[in-house]
Amino acid sequence: MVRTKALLSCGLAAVLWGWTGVALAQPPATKIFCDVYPDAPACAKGSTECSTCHDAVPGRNAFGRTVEKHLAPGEPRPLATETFVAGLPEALATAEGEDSDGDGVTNREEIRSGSAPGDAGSKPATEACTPSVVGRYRLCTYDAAYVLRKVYLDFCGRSATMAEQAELQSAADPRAHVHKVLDTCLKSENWRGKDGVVWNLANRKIRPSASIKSGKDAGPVPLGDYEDDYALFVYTQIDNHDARDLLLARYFVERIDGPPTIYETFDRSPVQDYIQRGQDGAQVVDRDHRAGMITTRWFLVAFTMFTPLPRTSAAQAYRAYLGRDLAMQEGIVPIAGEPFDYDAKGVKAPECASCHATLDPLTYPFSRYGGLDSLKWISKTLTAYWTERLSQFPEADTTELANTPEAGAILGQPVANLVEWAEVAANSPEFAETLVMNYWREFFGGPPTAEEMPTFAELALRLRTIHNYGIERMLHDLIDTEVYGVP
Amino acid sequence: MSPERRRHTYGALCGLGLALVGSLACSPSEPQQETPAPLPTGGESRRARVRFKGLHRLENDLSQALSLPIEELCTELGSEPCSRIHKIALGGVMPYTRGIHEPLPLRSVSNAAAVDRLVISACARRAELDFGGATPPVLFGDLTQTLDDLGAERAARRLYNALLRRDESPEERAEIVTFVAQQKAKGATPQEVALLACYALGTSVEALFY
Repeated sequence: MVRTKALLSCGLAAVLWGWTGVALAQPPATKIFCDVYPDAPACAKGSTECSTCHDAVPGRNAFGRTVEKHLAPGEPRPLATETFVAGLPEALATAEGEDSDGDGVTNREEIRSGSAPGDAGSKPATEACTPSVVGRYRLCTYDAAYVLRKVYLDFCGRSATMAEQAELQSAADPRAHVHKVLDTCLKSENWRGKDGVVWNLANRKIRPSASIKSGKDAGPVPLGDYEDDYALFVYTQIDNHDARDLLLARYFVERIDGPPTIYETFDRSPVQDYIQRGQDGAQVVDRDHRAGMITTRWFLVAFTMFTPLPRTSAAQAYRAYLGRDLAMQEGIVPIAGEPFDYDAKGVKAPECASCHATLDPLTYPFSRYGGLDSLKWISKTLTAYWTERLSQFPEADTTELANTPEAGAILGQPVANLVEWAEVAANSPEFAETLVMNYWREFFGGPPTAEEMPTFAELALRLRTIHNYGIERMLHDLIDTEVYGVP
Repeated sequence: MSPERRRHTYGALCGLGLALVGSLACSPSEPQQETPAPLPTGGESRRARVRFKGLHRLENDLSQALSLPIEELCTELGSEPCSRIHKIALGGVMPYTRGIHEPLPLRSVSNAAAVDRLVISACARRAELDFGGATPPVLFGDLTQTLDDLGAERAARRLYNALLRRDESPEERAEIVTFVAQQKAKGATPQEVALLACYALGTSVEALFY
């Protein structure tokens, strides 16, 4: 079965790109799809995936082409937004009876069952799954021995010995035994040590670069150290700490190498940290303006650099912690009146505005945090946060730059500053889904299929509402799922 | 090893590898005379989700199975660990210096060769130690000079226990016994037989994927 290519919703803009050639900011087509098919497994999160209709945006798969054929026939292309939105439900309904991918199953049946209507290799299971034994595997039923072997490999980083497998056979409650093993593996170096599984989940979020690393093993141009970032990331993911601290932490974390590797929080002002760790190692943002991973020195140095309006920082934060990649047209939530184009980059052009109406207000709260430019004034402010920062760019192309507001918006919600930005982000469903996705991809090698989406959505929901963002509690849920435990 | 011996060794590797579903090892140019055993009956997995173990799991498993420290499993030019030289090919990451933040989504062309290199080197090291006489054998002690059936059966048990963490089936045991007898007839030494059997099991689908 082909996997969905992107978990998080793409905007209607993406669809329009395919239909009209120009991406315009619109409400999500993925949401309209789920308004039509609220009970479809693919809609467990409230919106479906781009891959329902697209191979790779803007290209369409067989189902997408069928929908296109039935969408406002006779109307001149490109379609007006209103025409598209009004016509999509009917086009979906008309396409239902066809078999777009030619796999012998109608689109309607595929959508209802959770298979992909645009992929001939994805079909609903036609035969009942009858439990049976093949070799060491108990098919079509939760197989505790299979789960035990996977837990050892996924979490401990090695195969279970025969003695460890035998322990399960003699356990009074096999499932309880597996959970006990999971707890042991969650303490292992493979899981939580330097370069361990959790550590490596942070790579794409931190994007380290040895050439500009400062501190231990400094590179040729030492500008900032990412060790604190990795330590904070791992800390938030272990021992059922509140994973929202990825964006909410006002503290930092120190790693003490083991085994066992230990992570300890510390809270020092920039001046105190400068005294303690020197210029190369000190964090630079004062406590009141910290927002976890997105205000660390490394983040500001690596992503903001010298930029007055650090769109790269905002886009990276949105991508890394909310799973929305604006470059892929994901997470488009335009704000009325935007983009204003304070830095005169020409983003009001229609081709740009579709993304920048989301990206620019997403960016404003980052604009008071200096990256490399803070070197010029941090000795005066004693923090890399400075409300007057944008007046420090006299070479800017526009006098409007200094009028850029600090207030912005994320996920359509106004925020006064980056701390509020982080609070909205950390408490959003998107954040919890991204957390679960990190681990889902690690264990299953890709995002969930439409058929698996209800399981995924349930994990994310329970992480938010029951587990108080404790990742290890979520992982105990995960190994109990049919997706993980039925070979 | 002489060229003739190398040819003999390689042919044997492929033969046993196929018989034991060791699909990664054999050159396409080698004749494949044996057909794979039919799949066991009883059903099919609905998901069939199988993943490559990747660098660290593979190293940990080989280290444990062969009672070798990780740094002794495989080195290039006798000094550089294979896990460092072939890191990306073996499914590792290099986030700090190369910007490779996740394992490659698909296995690279060099993946099978790197796996071969790692496993055969580790197996050779274990065989070298076991037949070297300096220390008591750990894994291959049953493959004595006579290469008799009983020794082959015991070796099969040890190999399956070590490399696949399970007992062998009667069919698998028979495969090993037959293989040992064939190699004996061809003049292979016990150390060579040990290496071949270890390599075949260590590169089987079951050993490399989960």
